[in-house]
Amino acid sequence: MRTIRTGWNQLLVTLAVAPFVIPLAVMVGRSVGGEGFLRNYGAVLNRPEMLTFLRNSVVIAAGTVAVTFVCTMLASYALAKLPLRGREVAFYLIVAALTLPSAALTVPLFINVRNLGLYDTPWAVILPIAALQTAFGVFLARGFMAGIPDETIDAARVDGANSFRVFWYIVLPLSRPVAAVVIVWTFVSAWNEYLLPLLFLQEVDQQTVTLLPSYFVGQFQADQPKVFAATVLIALPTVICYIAFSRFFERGIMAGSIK
Amino acid sequence: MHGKRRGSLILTVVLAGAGALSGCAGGASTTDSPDWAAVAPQNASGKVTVWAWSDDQATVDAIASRFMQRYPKIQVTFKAIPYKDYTNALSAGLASGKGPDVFIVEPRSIVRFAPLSEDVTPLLQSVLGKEWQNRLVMSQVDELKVKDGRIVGLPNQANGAGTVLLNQGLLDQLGLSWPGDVKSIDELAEFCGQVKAKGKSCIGVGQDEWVLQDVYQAIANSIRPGVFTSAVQGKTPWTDPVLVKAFDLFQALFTRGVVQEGALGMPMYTDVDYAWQRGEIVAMAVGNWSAMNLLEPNSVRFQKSAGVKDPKPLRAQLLPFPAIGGNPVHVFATGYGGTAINVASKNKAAAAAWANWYSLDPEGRQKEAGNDLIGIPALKGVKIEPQGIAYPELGRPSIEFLEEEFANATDPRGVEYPELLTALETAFQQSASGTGSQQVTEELENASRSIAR
Amino acid sequence: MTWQLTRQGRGFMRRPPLRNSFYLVPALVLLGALVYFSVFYTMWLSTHEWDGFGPNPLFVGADNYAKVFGDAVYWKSVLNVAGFLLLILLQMAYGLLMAVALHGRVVLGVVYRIALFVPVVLAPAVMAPAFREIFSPDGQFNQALEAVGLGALRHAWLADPDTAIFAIAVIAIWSGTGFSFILYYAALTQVDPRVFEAARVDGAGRLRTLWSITIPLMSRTHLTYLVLGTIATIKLFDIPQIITGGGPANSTQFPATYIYRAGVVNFNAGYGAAMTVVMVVICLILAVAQLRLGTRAERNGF
Repeated sequence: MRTIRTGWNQLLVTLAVAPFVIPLAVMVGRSVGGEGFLRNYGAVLNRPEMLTFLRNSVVIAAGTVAVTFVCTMLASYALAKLPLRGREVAFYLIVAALTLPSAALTVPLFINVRNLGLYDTPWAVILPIAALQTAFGVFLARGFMAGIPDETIDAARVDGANSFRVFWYIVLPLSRPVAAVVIVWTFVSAWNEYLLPLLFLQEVDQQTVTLLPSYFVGQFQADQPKVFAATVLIALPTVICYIAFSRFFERGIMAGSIK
Repeated sequence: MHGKRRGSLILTVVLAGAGALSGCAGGASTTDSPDWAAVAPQNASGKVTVWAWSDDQATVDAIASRFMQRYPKIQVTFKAIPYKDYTNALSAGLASGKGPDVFIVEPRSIVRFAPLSEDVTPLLQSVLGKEWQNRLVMSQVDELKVKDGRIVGLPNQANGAGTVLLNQGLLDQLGLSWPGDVKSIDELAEFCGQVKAKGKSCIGVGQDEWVLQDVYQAIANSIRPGVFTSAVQGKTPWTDPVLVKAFDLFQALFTRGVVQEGALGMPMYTDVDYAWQRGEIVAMAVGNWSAMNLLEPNSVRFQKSAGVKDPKPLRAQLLPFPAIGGNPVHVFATGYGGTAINVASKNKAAAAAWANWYSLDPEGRQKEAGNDLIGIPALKGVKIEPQGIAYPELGRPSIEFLEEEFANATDPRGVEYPELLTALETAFQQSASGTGSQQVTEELENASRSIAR
Repeated sequence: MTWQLTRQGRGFMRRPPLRNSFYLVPALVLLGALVYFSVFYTMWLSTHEWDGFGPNPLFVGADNYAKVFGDAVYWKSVLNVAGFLLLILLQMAYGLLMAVALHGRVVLGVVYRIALFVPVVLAPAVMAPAFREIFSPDGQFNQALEAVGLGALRHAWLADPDTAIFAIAVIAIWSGTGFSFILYYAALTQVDPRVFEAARVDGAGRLRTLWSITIPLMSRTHLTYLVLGTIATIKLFDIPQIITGGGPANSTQFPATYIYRAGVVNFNAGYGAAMTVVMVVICLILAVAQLRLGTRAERNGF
């Protein structure tokens, strides 16, 4: 009985996921076409800029995750669990930041970044992405933290913990699933950001890996297999990041504590 | 009032970096000796950054290293930026006050970036001498001249269309011959029916505005030469019977199986081009630059990119677009942008050395580009010697046709009003998907009237 | 006692201590310095005519707004968004079902999770050629239709103004569902497995458990995704921009692609800003309404 149900489950899940895999299969298939796997991936990895770009991407992604994580977790905690003047206003202000389309952001962000003297430094990319990701993260994390029962916190409060200790020892550990989502998401956004590094970092040795695919594209011709190979390589770290953090999403961590 | 003050503050911020821009408009350089233009290239030294959009990075790296072989004291960083982001990136780079020393400017951005572009007239005089006007195709220089009389870039090559690139080898395989003498859509559709019956597509066209425009302009000119340009300039209404009829013919290309299925879902580059490279399409509506395919190394490289295993060069031929309007199609051509020098460049002598080699030196980049058949150099006296023509019996006549027709083209190709381009794109795509020519031209005329020319 | 919990606090603490606001400072400084400036700047720009670069923006008052309200293409793009808002429900249902299924016994579950996650992280720009191939007349989509006996529907999907929008919708579902899945998957960890165990002991079937227990328990996640999905849909840009460029004949134009065209491609930054303001206002009204209704529903016990 159990086995049959599991078998059905497996089959249904496979069928449901299959359409998501087709475009990926097309992409990976094309990336080994033309001159073949070794030459395509080799051509990407042998670009002299590869290591520099990789380093820059790591710096920008790590910086963005750090800034976003601190801002998001502190703000979400206050908005979810602390009595606050103007709570609603603060929350809606943060949501409002999500509604601006990127086409409306580039010019004002450029003005800001220039004013702050950040143009052509990694901060020119880190801070704008972190700002937008914080708005996003707060929206997610506040909801999750609100789901942590007040009784759990009350117990610590009775023991005399101050608000920061409660944050540090109770709320933050219990928020690991959503923290993992925020981290993965921020990492992915920063890692995949294409336009801001192109616009705000003009020295070639400041550029990020997202520029690599376009290195194989000319006006009248694109070496599509290598473009796809570069894409696959760029996507790998995001997948690794997802796997690394996904154990925090697993069932069990929160077992017994909620609801 | 408050808003106004904020505005000027913001603008000051945006523009401050390049030094009071409009103040520089006279062309007097601020940071360098005023006679940068007179420095001989071999005496210039230091670092130069160049931005362009056209080629892949390996190609531009190779171009830069050839320059550095010639002028070893100059260190060039040549950055290729994807075309769709080029204007954006260049705007930010120039407004930051740093930006590239030299940049290639595309036609629609000449006016936009003019305040930040150095006047190159002194360079023209010092390199080409007093008679410099006789050394260049002046229509292309005029395109780079802005209202205050400055010339804000050096012309590079002409780009034109009104042609098709034919895969003669494929046609032979199908046992058909190209109907070079068609005079009507019926004749062309009949030929394409034969092609289709053999499982291939006839003429490849993409979704892009520029290629739809090339096809439409070719048809309109085949009815009455110059009528398209006259409408672009606002002198002929789009509702003129000739232009309406041209839309009918344009639509027929799509409804009568002349153009390949799914054209509006395919960008010309690379989708349509690759289908042509793979031998799925007999001809494609491309201009002079497609002559690159006549050379063996190019043809092999392009086919490889398109996924052809162990390709042999294609037997290609450049021909006029079929004369379905009744009169033979003459090509139309315009200069494709220019090489500009940033007014804020800290090393204008070296920037000038690059610009000179790229645009004015008969042994420099213009010769390379000419030899590679990318475009017709605006610089006269460049001796074009294409290497490795795959099939001289087809290639030679194509190149002769190219040199004769494009050098003497009188009708311009470009549309300089961005909003008209948008309206044209909608009109072409609507027409191609079945909207009647009356409605299309009326809407086009309305849009056209609201544009300040 | 220096601080109070929310629920208890509401009753008797009239003035929450100011120090609680310090937790918000880093976030608000970051957002204030970078994002809110952009909001005001866009509002200011919307009353001007400017090419986005040169030195002379011209004050034109409400002219840009008057033009927005008369611009048929803009409102068509808004209509496209309205249709796409329905896709959010589809993404939610798909994501929830996958999350529930993958929380169950599945061999190699991690592979399935990655397959759902990867589409979210791939930039549409680089996937565009693959999608154009899939939806081309001889592409995999048509092949799949033929394989299931629907060969009569074979079509040049992206080339036809009447069908291109469906192809864009499929791609939007493809790239958006993974995020809804991740949210539900994380939220399911908040639920005590004993709840499901108890339901099973009571003899509730899987559908019944899903409908009566899982879905109500996820109410907060529904709201979160509904709001984020609405905002993301209204801002939808990359997919239509890169795959169809808003065409053919503006049939896949979305506000963000149209704003980009006006502001960046056509050098009409003021008009782009005015359209942005209209779009942001619509977006805010929807988001706030959803949040308000959601909170009320939650207070009433859903």
